[in-house]
Amino acid sequence: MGWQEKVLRVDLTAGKITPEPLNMEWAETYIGQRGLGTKYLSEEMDPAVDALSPQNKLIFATGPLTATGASTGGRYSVITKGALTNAIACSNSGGQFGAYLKLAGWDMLILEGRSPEPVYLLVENDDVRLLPAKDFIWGETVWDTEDKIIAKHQNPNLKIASIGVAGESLCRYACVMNDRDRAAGRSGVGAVMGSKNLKAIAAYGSVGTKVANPQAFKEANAAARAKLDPSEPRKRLSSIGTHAMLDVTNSYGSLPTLNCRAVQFDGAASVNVKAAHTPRRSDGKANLQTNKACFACSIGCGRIASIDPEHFSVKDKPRYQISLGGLEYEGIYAVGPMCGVDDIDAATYASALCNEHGMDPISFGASVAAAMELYDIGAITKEETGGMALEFGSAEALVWAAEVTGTATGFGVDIGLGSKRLCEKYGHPDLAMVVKGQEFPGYDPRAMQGMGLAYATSNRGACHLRASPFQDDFAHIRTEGKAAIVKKSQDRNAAWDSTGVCLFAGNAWKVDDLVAQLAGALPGNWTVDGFFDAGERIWNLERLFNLRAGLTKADDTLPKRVMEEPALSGAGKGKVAEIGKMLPEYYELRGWTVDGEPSSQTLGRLGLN
Amino acid sequence: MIVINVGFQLVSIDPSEVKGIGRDGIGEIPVKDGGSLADAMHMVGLVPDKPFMTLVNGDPVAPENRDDKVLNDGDQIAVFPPIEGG
Repeated sequence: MGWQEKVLRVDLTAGKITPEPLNMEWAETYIGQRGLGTKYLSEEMDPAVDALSPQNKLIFATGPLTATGASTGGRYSVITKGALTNAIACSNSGGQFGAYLKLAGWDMLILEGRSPEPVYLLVENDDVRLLPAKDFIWGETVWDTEDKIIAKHQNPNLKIASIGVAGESLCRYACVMNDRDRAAGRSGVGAVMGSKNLKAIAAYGSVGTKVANPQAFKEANAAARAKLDPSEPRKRLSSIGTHAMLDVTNSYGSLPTLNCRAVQFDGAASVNVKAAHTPRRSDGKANLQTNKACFACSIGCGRIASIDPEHFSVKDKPRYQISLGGLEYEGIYAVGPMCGVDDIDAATYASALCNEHGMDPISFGASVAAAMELYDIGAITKEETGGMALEFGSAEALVWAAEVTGTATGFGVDIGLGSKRLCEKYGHPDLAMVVKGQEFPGYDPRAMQGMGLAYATSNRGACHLRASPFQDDFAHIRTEGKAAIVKKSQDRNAAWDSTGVCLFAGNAWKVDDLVAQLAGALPGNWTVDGFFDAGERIWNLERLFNLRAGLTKADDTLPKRVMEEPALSGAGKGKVAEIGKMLPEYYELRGWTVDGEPSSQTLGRLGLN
Repeated sequence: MIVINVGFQLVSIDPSEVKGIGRDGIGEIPVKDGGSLADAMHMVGLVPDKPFMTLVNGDPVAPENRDDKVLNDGDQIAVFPPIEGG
């Protein structure tokens, strides 16, 4: 019936593993994955604890549709207090790992405490063991960790989520990686895993899943597939991927460039999707090799690329002269235009190192961009970098930064602090393009006012996936109406991210199509209204977590640069992000006080008292 | 009939799906004098009420305003699809 009804609780301090029943009452109210994981975290943990302390908990949560056969239903989320943000963190990933965890018979893992020695968790159906990682995989890259675990256990079907050296060394934006190039990427969930001395979780499952009403589920799933598969968004995501967004934002003037000094990038044609499809001189191959799909996905938005073997970054490194995870929009924006780098091979290499060492490419690229601006104004010199000229536009500097940050070497430790802490350390906090400590994705909020509000109010810090103001933002540069669009899409996305299904399916589906699948998989009465109610409940629960963690209304803001320095070009030329015009209406629509706190009536309406 | 010429650029749209635009996604099309953005989109085979995003001379034109957006000779149109990033 969608759920296995089993949670695996792992006390890393004591080395104790305890199965327990899933709280089905909460599952009915918070759906699963993002919502249910946040409920468990909120109930079990004081949000004020240090994110890197043993008191923080780390939850791996699947959704009710994960591994049921639902179209794109292979997702899981990592929920914790974020090392980057000190706020609620919920990072969503695809690949195969989440589905295999569910197929092993577990809806959720709750990891507590801190292991005295590095360990990894092996989950093979009911056979669950904590095993030593020291002198085996501790200190290894994500890729080598996966290979070594599979070789040791002689099970090529093990699916592995792990951290690289970045997570071990508490890089503030370390990811949890799975299946080589899929990531629970944002907010530093990998650093929390590293702080617990937990290197990896390897899962293999053959238990299977069941749904409550097989016929209804089958019909709803078939109808959803019939909509998704021939749809234009699916075809576009498959053929040109999210990478295609770069031409859109560059044309529009909302492509964050040179640490948001500019909004359009002169070198865009060298790093756009057309460049990735164009055969190169050296070996006649294009950067883009093929695409890749996650569990049960018919979209296949993932990119597989190759780096020019003659490129300086890989010339003497056969390890990288292979097919590897390629460029997706948020990554290429950050390591390309944001740093002023127009070298597609350097960008692909930097992106690959983010996968290999387990770093969020958005936060990494934006942190390098901040470091480049600090270098540009003289706040950082070659003395700090160890001789590297950290100049905007330098492919050599980008490649070097990826290597030293991924391995926590020298100045790479500073880049690994993230933009906020880096800019504070060197005396220029205003140069960090962050919200709640988390770096911007690839949308400048001066031409996209709705996205500015979405960034400012996102519970996990600047994020492009918490709300969906894209269509209105690309049609209207105005503040009117954005609050309602942002609020409604935040609720929608919060519920959607709780189901186990990919947000990208929503490019072809309406909420009805997803709710019909939930109704087939789960007992109870699932409606569109109930779906949005659950999303609003989840959003408010995340907000309450943040308030208890010490965040306030003052954190619902944007960097001074985008609020005071007008865009230099593009559709938003002369505009600044006008968050002050939208925030009061947003609070009112949410049923929050003028201080941004849910009112008692709102809490009562949502059952959050 | 007086005809004006307007520039047309496809951003992240396959040019083979569109009439009268070069393989690089850039072209110039004739439009009747007083014609609208919706007229220009019809001419190349793009359905104006589909959720494309449009710019004229760099300024966004919302779908509901395409019928009323009168074009001038030399205007530059850009059209891109409703991608949501990830």
